Amino acid sequence: MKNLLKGIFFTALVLSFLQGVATLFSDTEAATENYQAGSLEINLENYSSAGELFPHTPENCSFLVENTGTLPIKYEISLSFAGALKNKVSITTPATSTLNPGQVDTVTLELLLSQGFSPTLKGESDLLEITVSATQVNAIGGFRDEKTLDIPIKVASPAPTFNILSPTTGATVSGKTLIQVEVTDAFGISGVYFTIDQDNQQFQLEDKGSNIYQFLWDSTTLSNGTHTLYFVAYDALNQSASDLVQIDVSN
Amino acid sequence: MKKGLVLIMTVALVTLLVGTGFAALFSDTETVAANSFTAGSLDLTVDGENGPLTAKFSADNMQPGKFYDGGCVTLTNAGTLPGQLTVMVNNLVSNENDLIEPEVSDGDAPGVEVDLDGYHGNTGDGELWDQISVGFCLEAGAGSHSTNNHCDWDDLRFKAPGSTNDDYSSYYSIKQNYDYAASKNVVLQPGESVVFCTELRFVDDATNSWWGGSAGMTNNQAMTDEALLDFIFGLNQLP
Repeated sequence: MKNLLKGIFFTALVLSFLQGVATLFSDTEAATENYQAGSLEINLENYSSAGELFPHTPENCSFLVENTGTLPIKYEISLSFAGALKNKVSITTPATSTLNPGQVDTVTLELLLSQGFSPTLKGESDLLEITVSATQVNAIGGFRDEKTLDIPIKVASPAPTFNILSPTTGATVSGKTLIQVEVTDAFGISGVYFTIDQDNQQFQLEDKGSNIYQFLWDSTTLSNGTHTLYFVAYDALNQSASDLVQIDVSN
Repeated sequence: MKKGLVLIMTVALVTLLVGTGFAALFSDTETVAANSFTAGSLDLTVDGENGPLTAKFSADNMQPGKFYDGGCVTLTNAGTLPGQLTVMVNNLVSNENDLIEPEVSDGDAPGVEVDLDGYHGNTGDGELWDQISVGFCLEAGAGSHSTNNHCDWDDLRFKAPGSTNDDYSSYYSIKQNYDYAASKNVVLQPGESVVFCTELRFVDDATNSWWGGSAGMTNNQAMTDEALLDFIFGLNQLP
């Protein structure tokens, strides 16, 4: 009986102590932390397409790079053709640039049709693929964005132009006569020919350089009288230019 | 009968004499009115406020690779008893906010937290929490380090269990419901204040090959995301 009373008393003591611990004073306060990541994004827009390319003649085209993110960026530009103009057009690649949020750069490219140029490029078209890679100004990796823009580029395809130097209309010829014409085409001429009085026989003029083509014609093969010389020049696309001249043969 | 009567009278007389004699001893009494026994108090204030508190720490427009000071608050024991400081964090939430093209191109999607390795300590569909580490300290360093609102090397820096450096969040996932201050035994006396500061680092994914490998995480996935947490400051009565 005495031990039982001791036990009850001890248990009550422990419970009382634990209750005391649980009700020790305390106070808590909560504060919220809010972090917000920035963004890095660019947008490309075609600003002005290039005109038609002529050999050895610089042509410009422009596009816009807009920093639509919230952080400053640096960007690089890479350019390439995938089709007919691959390795045929040299392009001045702009240097790496920086751009603040909201700012827009106008990037101008100078295209020059010169490398590996051949007359067969006349009239060709291709897409200039512009890739702009943007990264954070101060980071090894971090945010980045890459956008591409395709700008159609076309090589010009003008027809040849023709100018008969000799003989001139109404001229009287005899014996061997030098026929000389001037044909111009920036892409080159595949052939210059003439026929007489629309005869089936066709004569090819020799390329003497500097756009001059000539042929030493023997007029004695024709009867005396008025005849017509029909000239035609062809380019690589089989585009033609023609002219004629009337002469009097007197042998 | 006569004897009985005499005995009664004798007892009555003695009783009367003895009683009167004691009552007539010198005595004096004084009363102190309105005695009071007042309990002490523990009252923690944050920047002088009691809850609910507005957001005290923030960092905006964060970019990978940079460290940020998240801000400081002054913790004051406004009570009358000394108390031991506790610091816990919980309610980690990461919100996607806008889902812009660079995020999508790196595999992010609406309502989905990219967390391929299953590693995260937050709710929400944002990826920012997995890419930042958070540290906090009490301004206690030498000289200006105690007043510059920045966690310096010699301030009283709290660290997660097992962390041996300043990566408090340990693998970039902060430990919740853990008293970071327990091992520091910081006691605030009545009226005493300490300045609590936070710092954070937005980890550059190029410096973490594991991310780009098995984890498949990139910084792009965290663009425009938001990370939230609650700091729970407490004062406990000393035993």
